[in-house]
Amino acid sequence: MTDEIFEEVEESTVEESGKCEKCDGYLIGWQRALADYDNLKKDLGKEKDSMRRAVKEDVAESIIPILDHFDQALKFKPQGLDATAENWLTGMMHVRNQLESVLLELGVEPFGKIGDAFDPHMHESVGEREDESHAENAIVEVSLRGWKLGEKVIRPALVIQNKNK
Amino acid sequence: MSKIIGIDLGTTNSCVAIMEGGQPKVLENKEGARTTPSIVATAKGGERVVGLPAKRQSVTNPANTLFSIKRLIGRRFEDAEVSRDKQMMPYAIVKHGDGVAIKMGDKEYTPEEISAMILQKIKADVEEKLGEKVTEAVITVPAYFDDAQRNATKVAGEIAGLKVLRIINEPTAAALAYGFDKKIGQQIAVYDLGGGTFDVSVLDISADTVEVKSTNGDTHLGGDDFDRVIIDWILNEFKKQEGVDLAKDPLALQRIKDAAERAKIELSTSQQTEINQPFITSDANGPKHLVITLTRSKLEELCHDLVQKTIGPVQAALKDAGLSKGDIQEVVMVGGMTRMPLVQKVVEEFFGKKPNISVNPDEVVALGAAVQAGVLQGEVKDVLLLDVTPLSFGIETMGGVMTKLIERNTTIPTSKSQVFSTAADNQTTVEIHVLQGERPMADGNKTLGRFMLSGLPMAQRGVPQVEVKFDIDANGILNVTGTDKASGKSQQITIQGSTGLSKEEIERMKQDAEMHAEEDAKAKERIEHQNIADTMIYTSEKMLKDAGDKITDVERKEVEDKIEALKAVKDKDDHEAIKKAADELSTVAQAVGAKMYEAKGAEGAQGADASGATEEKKDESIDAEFTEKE
Repeated sequence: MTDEIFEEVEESTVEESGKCEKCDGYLIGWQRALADYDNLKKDLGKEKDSMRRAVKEDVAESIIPILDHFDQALKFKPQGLDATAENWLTGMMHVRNQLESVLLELGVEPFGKIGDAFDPHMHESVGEREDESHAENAIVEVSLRGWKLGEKVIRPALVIQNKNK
Repeated sequence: MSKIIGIDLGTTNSCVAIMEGGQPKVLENKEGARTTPSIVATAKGGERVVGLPAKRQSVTNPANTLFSIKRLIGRRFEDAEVSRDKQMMPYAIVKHGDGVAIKMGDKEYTPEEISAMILQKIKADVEEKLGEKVTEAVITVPAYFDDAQRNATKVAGEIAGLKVLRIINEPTAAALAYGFDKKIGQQIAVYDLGGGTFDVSVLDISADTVEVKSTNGDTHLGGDDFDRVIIDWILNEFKKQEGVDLAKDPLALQRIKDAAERAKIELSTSQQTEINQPFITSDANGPKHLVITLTRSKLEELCHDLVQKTIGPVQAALKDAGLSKGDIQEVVMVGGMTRMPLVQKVVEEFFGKKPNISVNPDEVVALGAAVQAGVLQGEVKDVLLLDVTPLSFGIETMGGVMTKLIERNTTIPTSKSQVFSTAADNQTTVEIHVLQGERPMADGNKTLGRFMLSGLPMAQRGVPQVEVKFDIDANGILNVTGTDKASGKSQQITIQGSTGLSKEEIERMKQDAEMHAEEDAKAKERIEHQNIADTMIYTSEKMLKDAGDKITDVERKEVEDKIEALKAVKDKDDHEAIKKAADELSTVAQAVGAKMYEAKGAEGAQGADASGATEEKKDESIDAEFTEKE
């Protein structure tokens, strides 16, 4: 009799401990699933923001080269234009400015000017030249302006650095 | 427990991934990119920069910009590879013990230390992204790396503050990312054409190991060579057209490099692209424009030899493994260059089977490393399989339309509720007709059950709020509850095995929906028009009743005529006529309504409100004439 009871008790302990192990597994899985879901909800908000940002960046990346080409064209402006041609050019400048304002409205801002200290986080060096009027490593020529959205550099400024003596 | 990260420490670029929710996921770096250039530099100001910033200052600081360090890690100074790099690299490689060191700034660093700087940046960026410390990692290395190279990579990890739990082979990681470790008894070829190197490996998958049977490749063949071929072609074309050599103009060359890379990427998806760089230079005759069309076939002609160069090593690897092409069950593509259709075509022709490229080839190795990290962390084995609903669930609403509450492919368990209202005045009973299927009209779908919810308080149509809630548990048991929000009365029905349809039945129902899509859409459109007409008639009649003597008989007659006209056409199958009659009624009703407001405004000034014609109260029940409440 005693043995039987003893055995029964033992059996139920085994069963119970087996059950609890499973329970624990389920509980952990459940907690994890709830936590994952909660985190997913938080991430979704962030993801939406980053999607919006990514779309802005994509648009900016398509517009920036066109603006670059406009500016490049202006570097080749012929000398001695007559009044009609100058007037036409003024109109074209308005078109260029419209393009630039699209970028500004997106929150995309230009940066990079002569005299700024070269910073590889913002600028890409395409060459160097000695220029005594500027500090060591300063930018002596901006080949292409850089663009950033908030703190993120969408396109680094392509610059020529002052050559170290 | 902190996350274990999986790192693909590449020759040209590195990539990092983690396991999240049982899936590997690539993490972006601080600059917002999914891969980080494996470049370290001491900038001219003395600052140490890693990744993209290091690349950006490389042109003017080549001696202190270290790249392709992976070629040197774990090597002895006497190795042929080191001798070759000493000739080619712009930085100084010196002897350090038996091994090598590289000069950067005024100091010497071992390749382990340089690699550690890359790993440190990766670690810091991941920690910033995850908001927690990371201390453990799985790092991948090429299959041909010997013990010394593997150990050196491990040391690099440890210098960076990472406990390297495992060093795994890159091809093995790629196979893991595809889940091919379960293809026991199969042979897999991994074709890895990266930025600067080409590797091919043959893997043998057994129950608990992935063995690299053989490996081969070309340590100096990669995307950079392809870019160079395109740049040279552009320079030649421009020289032919304009007689100007742009190779000597650094800014023009930079623009051409960017344009060449863009063209290469675009031609992976389109047949031709325009390289358009106006005002690229000028001479005595004025500005010159670079505008050239590059077709995919021209690109393939230019790159043909480079792609063919990969076939020799593939054949050698097969021979070393003692296998023939036919013995290979799967081919996995790794490296950005494998996106090029020509590369895929050549590989497919060689093996006689389509290569696997569905996982991003730039990220596949890091993703596989993360899978291995997940196994070590115990995250992968706890995969809980969740079921989805094979077909949509919904109820029948006004006009016999099926309104879906749970769309097909929703992961279960799930629940969804929506508030509906009555379609007629004083409707005190609604019937909830539970349906399953993809057809827009109720009668095209399968009826799962019906129940009545009665005792709704008498009210005008659209006023009562009946919440219908669908709840499917993990076993696919569907509970539908209808609750009248005013009285709190509710009824429910339980449907067993709502997701347990046979495959054939599900397929048939889906096909039915596709087959009848056009006629169903028409029927639904007709019902929608009729519903709009119904609502319009109802509101207009109510308005006339409410108006009392505030409008003239002529105005009343005009609205009544238009109501009759709409009633006459509303049940016919003529959308245009219904729309026309509804628009006409809307116009006259709005005019009358506006007049009523004016009159009310005048009366309001006298302090009286003359609204509320008596409602005829009748108790009637209309079957399932539910309208959706906004």
